[in-house]
Amino acid sequence: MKISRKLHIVSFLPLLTAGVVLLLIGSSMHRASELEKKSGISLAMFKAAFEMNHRVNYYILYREQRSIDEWFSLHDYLNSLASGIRFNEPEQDAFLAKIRDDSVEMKKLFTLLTDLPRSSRWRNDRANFEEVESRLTNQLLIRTRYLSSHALRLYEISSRDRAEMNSRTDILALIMILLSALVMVITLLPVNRYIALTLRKLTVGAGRLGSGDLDHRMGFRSDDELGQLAHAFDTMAEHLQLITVSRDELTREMAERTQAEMALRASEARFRWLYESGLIGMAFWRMDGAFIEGNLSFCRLLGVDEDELRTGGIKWHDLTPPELKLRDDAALEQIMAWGYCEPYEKEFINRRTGSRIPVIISGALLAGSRTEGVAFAIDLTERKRAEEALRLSEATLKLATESTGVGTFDYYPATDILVWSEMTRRHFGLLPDFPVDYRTFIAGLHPEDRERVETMIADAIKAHHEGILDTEFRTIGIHDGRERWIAARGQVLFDERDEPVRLIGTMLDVTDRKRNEEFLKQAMRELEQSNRELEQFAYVASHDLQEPLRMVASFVQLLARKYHGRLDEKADEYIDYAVEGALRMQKLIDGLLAYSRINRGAPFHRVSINEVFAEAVIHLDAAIRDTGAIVTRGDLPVVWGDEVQLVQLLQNLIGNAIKYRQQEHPPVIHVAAERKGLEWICSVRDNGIGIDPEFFERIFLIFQRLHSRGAYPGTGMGLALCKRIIERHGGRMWVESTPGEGSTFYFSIPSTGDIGLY
Amino acid sequence: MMRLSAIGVAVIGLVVVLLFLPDVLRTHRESARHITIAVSSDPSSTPIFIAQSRGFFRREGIEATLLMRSTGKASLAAVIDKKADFATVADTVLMFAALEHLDIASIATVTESDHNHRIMALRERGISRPGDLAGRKIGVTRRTSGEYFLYTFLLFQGVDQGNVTVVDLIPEEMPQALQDGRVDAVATWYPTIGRLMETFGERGIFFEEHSYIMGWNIVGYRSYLERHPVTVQKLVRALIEARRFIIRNPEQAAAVAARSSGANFEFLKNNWDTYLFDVGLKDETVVNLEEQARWAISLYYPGRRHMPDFRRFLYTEALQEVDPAAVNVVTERKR
Repeated sequence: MKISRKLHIVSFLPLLTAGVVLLLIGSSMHRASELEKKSGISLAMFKAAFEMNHRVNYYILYREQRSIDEWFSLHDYLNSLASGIRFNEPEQDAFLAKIRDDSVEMKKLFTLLTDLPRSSRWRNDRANFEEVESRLTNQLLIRTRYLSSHALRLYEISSRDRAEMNSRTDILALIMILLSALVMVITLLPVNRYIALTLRKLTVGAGRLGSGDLDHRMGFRSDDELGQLAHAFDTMAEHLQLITVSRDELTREMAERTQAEMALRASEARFRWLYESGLIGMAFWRMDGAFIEGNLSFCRLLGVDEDELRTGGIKWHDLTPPELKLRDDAALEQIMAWGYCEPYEKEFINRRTGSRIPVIISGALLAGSRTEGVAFAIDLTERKRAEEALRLSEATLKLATESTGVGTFDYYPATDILVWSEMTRRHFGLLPDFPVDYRTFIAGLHPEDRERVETMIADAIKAHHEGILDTEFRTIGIHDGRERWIAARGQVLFDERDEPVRLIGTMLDVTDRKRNEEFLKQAMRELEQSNRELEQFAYVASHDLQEPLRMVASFVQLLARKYHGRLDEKADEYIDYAVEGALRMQKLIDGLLAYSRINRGAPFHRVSINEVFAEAVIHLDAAIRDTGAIVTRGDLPVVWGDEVQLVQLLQNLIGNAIKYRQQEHPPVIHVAAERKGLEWICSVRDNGIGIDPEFFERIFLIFQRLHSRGAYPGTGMGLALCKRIIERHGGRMWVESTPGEGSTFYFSIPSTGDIGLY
Repeated sequence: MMRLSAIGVAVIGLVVVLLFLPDVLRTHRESARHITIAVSSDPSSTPIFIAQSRGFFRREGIEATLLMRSTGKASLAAVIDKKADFATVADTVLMFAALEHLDIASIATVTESDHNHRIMALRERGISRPGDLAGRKIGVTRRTSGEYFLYTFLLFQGVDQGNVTVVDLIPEEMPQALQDGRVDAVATWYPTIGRLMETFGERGIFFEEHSYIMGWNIVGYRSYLERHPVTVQKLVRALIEARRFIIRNPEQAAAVAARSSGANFEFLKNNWDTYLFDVGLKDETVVNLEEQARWAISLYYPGRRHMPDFRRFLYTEALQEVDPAAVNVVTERKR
């Protein structure tokens, strides 16, 4: 539906409403007029009754005929009013009926009343006459009163109806107006919204069209004016698009042509540049075998100049070694057949130097010609040289690898191709020409190593692995039956998809080394067994020797006490020697026993070196007090170890420092510790007599002494015990010293986990 | 849109509340009250019958019990005997109550009719016109509208009042009294007239005179009315509703009236227009009562000189509250 029609319809609504309202008001006015008239009649009847009442009173008072006549006139008037009126409502009809009845009864009563004096019956009965007249008058007045009341009630009802009707009309008119307004709003709102939206679309569309978007369409269809406008817009856009497309195509064709020309020029320029640059040799030739033009690079290949070539006197057959001329003929045949030939290698004989110039050459007929062509040649001299060098290098490498016993392998998992060098074939005991593949490799492995090696290779070629193969295995000697130990190292090469492409590597015959290792291991095992037995022997010997020695020493001392001075001097001297020797031997055996017991010490646990230091100082208390030694410590660590042995260690070292003191001043000894990497370096520094560096190793050997027993008594076991203790704790021991200045004994002990300085 | 709907619902809700609020408040003010009404089995009591049968009493919160009586006089006796709170009586009965100094008052006149009474005589007694009633024995229920009607009838017909012998009969005695010759004629009202017509058929002759406008009232003890003003208002409101129904549904109302009063429906339907159903308290009632009182005083209270003020026997407060336009009584000037 057109918008104008919609608007017409909407604008018609107020008119319709106004019409309905007018009709309502007109009908209401008409009805009000009727009711007005009826209420007027009702009022008139009321007034008539009132006047009739007066006339009755006048008649009773004055007995005038005029009152009678007027009463009847009024009665007629009342009757005319009552009969001339009609009500449609039962309520009013009931009252009207009563009024009519009242009127009839009133007339009857008034007639009775006015006829009463004329009746002969009352002529002699005046008292009763007055009584009856009075009663009739009262009845008449009562009836008149009822009629008045009924007329008044009718008037009230008419008035009430009129008021109600007016009110109803007002409400109805108001409802009609509101309804009309509502219908207008309901009708106009969508129209308004539709127009606004459509105009907005049209505005946007026009804007896009104006900005050159000729593909845009309004996108809506309707039969109204806005739809027609949208259609006109779309049609305009289509026409504009057609015009613009034609123009654009022309422009595009011109641009393409210009571009093609530019491309051609660029191509010509590039070709010219290629020709003149000399990157490759280019020449034009004739079918008779003559070169008719060539660039500088080509001319250099042939050892001619450009002008000479342009004479057409230079023919390729003349510059080709005889054995290669067949290649040229074959190429020429190919050119005749296909218009071009595939690149092939040949040699030109350089006219200037006479040397052979290897080239790769190709040719083709010129476009539209069967007699002339173009040829391209690339100098291969350098490449040939490189290839030769490479060949020589490979030969050298092969020689080198084969001579060192290193064989190579090259395995392609995807195709299962396995390439072995001669040396590798020998590692597997293969005959020279026996074909190899992966199954040959597996078959050549020792059965005990086969599964392990297969697994390792499978792991190595898995994606995301490092692809390194490093293993040793035995081969069985497929054809010579000789078992070999082979050390294989390889690297898997992966492609961009992480797929294994190649496994390349080397194989070395390590059979001799393996044998040596096995021998060495066996020797070590035997040595350890020997050491253990020796240790056991030392322990047993020293332990078992102690008892008879203690008996010898005891009896010799008893002999000395009992017979000292009773024998001669020599005897006393010999007995003293025997006692001293026995005592010394006892000490030596104690030392030896202690030494052999080091490895049988207590299990390791957390040990505070601070506490170890304190314990050692307590043990040395007498010596410290006697010598006035100053023994101090820094922060010492907590370590895993054997507390008893560590106390013995520090006691020996501090005791040595006191023992080998300088006589001029009291000993000053400081024990310290320092963390270095995974171990603690502990030191016992003194200001003693010092040690000559040449004895730094010797002092740690068992029973080794630097001084005479007279100068410094001892067994020579102390430092050996210390070193043995430290070795049991996984550490090392060494000494730094300057004679006359003092010594510093160091020992290392592993630090573990959270154990540190305490 | 949602907001508009919500406002619409709220407005409708408010309108509904405003429409029903007065009823709700009124119901809350006075709880349902039980009343007993002694009703004379007369078509004039139709508003009572309709209000009861259509549930207008219940709608107003009144539980009404109807005690059916044959006359208004008997109905008033039920009130006097405290068997009923209200009674339906003709204005004549109200007038006699006033003369007896009973503290009775009418809360409304509900029906008006000048066709309700007739005189039936037996042709076999030689009565063929009203004048033949002279010298006869006429049965009436004394101190009722029947007796006053007989008076006005004789007055209108010019028959000497002293020339008839009045025999006091209740309606139920009349057929037999006629039959056995105790009376020659009876003056009474519907539905007794209808029953007599059916009993005697062609033997009977009927005389009617629209000489007496009977007002049909709802009366009660004034003390009761003043103690229960809201109940009286509810009763009046129910009667107005019943009157509206009667006017709009005359045939249906006539059927109810016939069933309730024992009247012949066809007869009642044909004479339905002679009843004017209108709830009101009018000055003409007072005038009518005064005229009836003059007759009653001359007949039953010969020495009495003072006329009662019948306005005091109209309880206007309830109707004034419910429908002020229905009250049209000249009030006593305040001093």
